[in-house]
Amino acid sequence: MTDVEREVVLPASPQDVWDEVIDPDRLGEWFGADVDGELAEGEPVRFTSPAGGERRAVVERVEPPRRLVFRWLPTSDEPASRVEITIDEIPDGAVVHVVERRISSAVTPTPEIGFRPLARARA
Amino acid sequence: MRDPGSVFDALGDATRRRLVAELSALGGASSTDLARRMPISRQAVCKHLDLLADAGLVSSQRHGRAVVYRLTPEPFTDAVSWMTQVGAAWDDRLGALRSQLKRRRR
Repeated sequence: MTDVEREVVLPASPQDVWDEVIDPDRLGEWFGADVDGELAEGEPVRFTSPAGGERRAVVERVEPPRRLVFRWLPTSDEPASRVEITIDEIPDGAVVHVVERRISSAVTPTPEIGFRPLARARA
Repeated sequence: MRDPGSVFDALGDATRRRLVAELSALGGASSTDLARRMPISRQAVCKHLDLLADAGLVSSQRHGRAVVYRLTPEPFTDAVSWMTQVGAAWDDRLGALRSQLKRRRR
């Protein structure tokens, strides 16, 4: 109950679905937003809605042709969350599975190096 | 302001979800009441209640010698509204993805 989860069966090959996911213009088409940036690991991406609303994300994992993970950065009224899109092959098509999970800022990954010396310095 | 993510962390555990369900059914309950209904010790119940309280999901009030715990509704509303909005957005997107793939096939 802590996630939003969706699954759809599409009459297309995983590769065809992946093409719609990984190309910023095509992704923007079904997201209903302008997508600026490259969908590559570690890259920042900006989504701009037709109304002008802006949402920034960071791509975390790209595993063609079946898995894309990105993190929405928080805004003043939206919390940070992580989106995982998985594409699996089935006879005559593909299953697309989406999970979006809110991220507690308390558990936002802090690089291990740098954190420990800081904690010691404060003690 | 409370971090909304902590609500999700707090509810990401089956025992705590069961506690929330019990509190919801009972209205208010002490840790002893709750421990009687759960397969865990009162100490364990208290630990979980503390976590739920930190997330703002549960409040406590002292009644004589007993502490009575209750659910606080606001964080639940917040969590449900997030899930509703995000879910609706994905329904729209995945519907659009389906039409888009259909168009490309032509």
